[in-house]
Amino acid sequence: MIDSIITYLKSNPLLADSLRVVVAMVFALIFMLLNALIFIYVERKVWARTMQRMGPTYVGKWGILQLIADFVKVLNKEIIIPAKANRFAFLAMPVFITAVSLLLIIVMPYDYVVAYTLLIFQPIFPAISILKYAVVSSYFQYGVLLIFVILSFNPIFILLTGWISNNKYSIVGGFRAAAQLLSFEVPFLLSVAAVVVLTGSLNLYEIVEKQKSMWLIFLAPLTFILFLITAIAEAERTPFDIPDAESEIIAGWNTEYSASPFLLLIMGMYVRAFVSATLLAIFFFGGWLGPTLPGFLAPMSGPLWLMIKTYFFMFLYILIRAAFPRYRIDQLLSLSWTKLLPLSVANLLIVIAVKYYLMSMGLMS
Amino acid sequence: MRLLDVLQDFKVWIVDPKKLSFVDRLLIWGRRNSLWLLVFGIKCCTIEGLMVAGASTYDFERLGVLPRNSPRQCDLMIITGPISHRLAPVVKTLYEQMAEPRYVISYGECSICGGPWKGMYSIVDGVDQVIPVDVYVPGCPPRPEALIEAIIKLEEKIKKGELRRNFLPKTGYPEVKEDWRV
Amino acid sequence: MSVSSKEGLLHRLKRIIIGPLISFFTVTKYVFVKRPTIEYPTKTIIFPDRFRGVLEVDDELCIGCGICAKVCPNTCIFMVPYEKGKPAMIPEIDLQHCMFCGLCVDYCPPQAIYHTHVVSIIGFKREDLYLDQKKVTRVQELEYK
Repeated sequence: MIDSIITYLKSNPLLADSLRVVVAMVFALIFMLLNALIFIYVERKVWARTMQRMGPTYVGKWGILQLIADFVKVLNKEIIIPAKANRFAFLAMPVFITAVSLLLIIVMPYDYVVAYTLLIFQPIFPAISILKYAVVSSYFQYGVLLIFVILSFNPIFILLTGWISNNKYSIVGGFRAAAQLLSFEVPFLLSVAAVVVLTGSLNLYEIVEKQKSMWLIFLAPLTFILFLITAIAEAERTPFDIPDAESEIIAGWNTEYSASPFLLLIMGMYVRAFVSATLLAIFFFGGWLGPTLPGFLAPMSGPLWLMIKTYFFMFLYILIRAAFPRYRIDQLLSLSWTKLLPLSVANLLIVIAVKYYLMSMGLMS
Repeated sequence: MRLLDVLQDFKVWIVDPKKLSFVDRLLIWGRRNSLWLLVFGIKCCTIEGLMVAGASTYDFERLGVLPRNSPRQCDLMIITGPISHRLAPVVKTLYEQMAEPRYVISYGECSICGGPWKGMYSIVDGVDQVIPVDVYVPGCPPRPEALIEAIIKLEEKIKKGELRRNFLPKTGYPEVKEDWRV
Repeated sequence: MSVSSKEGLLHRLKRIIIGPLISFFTVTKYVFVKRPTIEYPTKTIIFPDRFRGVLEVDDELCIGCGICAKVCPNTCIFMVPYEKGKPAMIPEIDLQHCMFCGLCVDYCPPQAIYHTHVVSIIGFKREDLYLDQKKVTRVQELEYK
């Protein structure tokens, strides 16, 4: 049965390709949304612990079902559309923002993680080895470029979201978000350019493979620090969460959103934070490189290492959120334009010099 | 946008708990376990009761009560002080800005009946003259345990299906003698 | 972010780098510290002896003098004829108006009215909070468990 399907698909390369892409995308989408939920749960627990609180414990064991209860409730609430807002645009914007955030699954290697994790069932179902072909993201030679093209849509949509809500807090939040995201994009791109110069590739897979001899964190620690700061700012997390500063402007650009549109916005924000944690792991900590795990975990050691590193950065984000107070808008912009921008240009020059030196020594191709 | 109006009417407003389907039970379970709190404090009960109940000694986030700032995303409003005639329109506006289903806890003597200022020219005799109240917590101030108890009681009330929609107070909205807002 | 001009560059760098690290590690430390949370519905604290909880009346000691109603600053105590007849009048307490000041306890000649350790009498209606003569003599049984 399965052999006949495979032979049919081999005779139809277009159908086979589209099927492969759809399977990979669905896997990656489910994986990403699930991880966003886990991110929110872990954040609430760890954040509560840093304040010596308990966090959710009442719903299910250790409050595991808390996020599901929140999900059900938020879906079930009344959708309020402000009278003077543009009804169509008000409902369309959350969809756009979430779609733009979820577009990142094309490039991010989550389909690789899922496919290679499912391969541990290969002794039971031999046919599952077909999943090896259901990895799309490795084929993007210019993946890093695509990520930043997708991310650069965000300020436009966020500004529009604040604008069409027709609320003064929303519009202030929207303008703040646009200013912040646009001004942090420059050092962000420059620090990524340093990574690209060091590895000589725009493909996420090749960037990881180049780190087999040495992780980039040891080669370029300043680039790592710059990338960490700008990635937190791009994900709109504390201490750079001025677009939705609770104590100043009620909830920033999502003030007017109530039920399922609000759910979409929150999903988009946490997906972006999760993706930036994965990018940190891939660029500087060698992605899925690591010692092979013992026993039945051996085939999935690569995906497991990637996830362990990603969750490490998630914890770092949460602890940073708990530790540091929020920046003011003028401090934030001066941090970006007067400190991070010169630093990242200098960093790029240093990295080029290091690369030239290593190439002349014959240590790097 | 007719479809949205129709979809919103599909929400469950239960009368008989025996006739609940599985989906209804799921919705009620979600509703009672994630009461997000609108952070709105009026007087000293806010510091002595509400904030203490949210701090590390009696952490109400254990029960799923998450403080949010925008009234659009909140379910639970805790009134913690006397409502003056000048504040009454604000409270009413905040209540109307919350999305259905929404619940109100009247916390402390002043919000229940006006407290020491009962019958005064500037104070409303109880917050239930302005907005509907689900649970009353007496005390001056009540202990934080009483607030957590009230949240659990409210969850039991939601579980029984005693929900209300489009409430209009019988006493009517109290007359604002003079609009002091410019 | 204003920095005094006397501060040297080294000092400034030290503050910029070490300050955030201290706050970060303090926060990280608290993740592993034992929490003082009292999980209320399952655990409670023991209140001190003189804790002012909901008032209760002992009808065997009460003499029906009505001093408590006279001294109450909020006038939330009302003397009504008692059903059992032993004290002719007994206080009823309007809990929605009581502010637990304890004046009635101080003034009661036979110490028949006293504070219990009950904190949570919660009503769905305002009438639930009126402790009539049946409720006011057995407040401790009314406490929700």
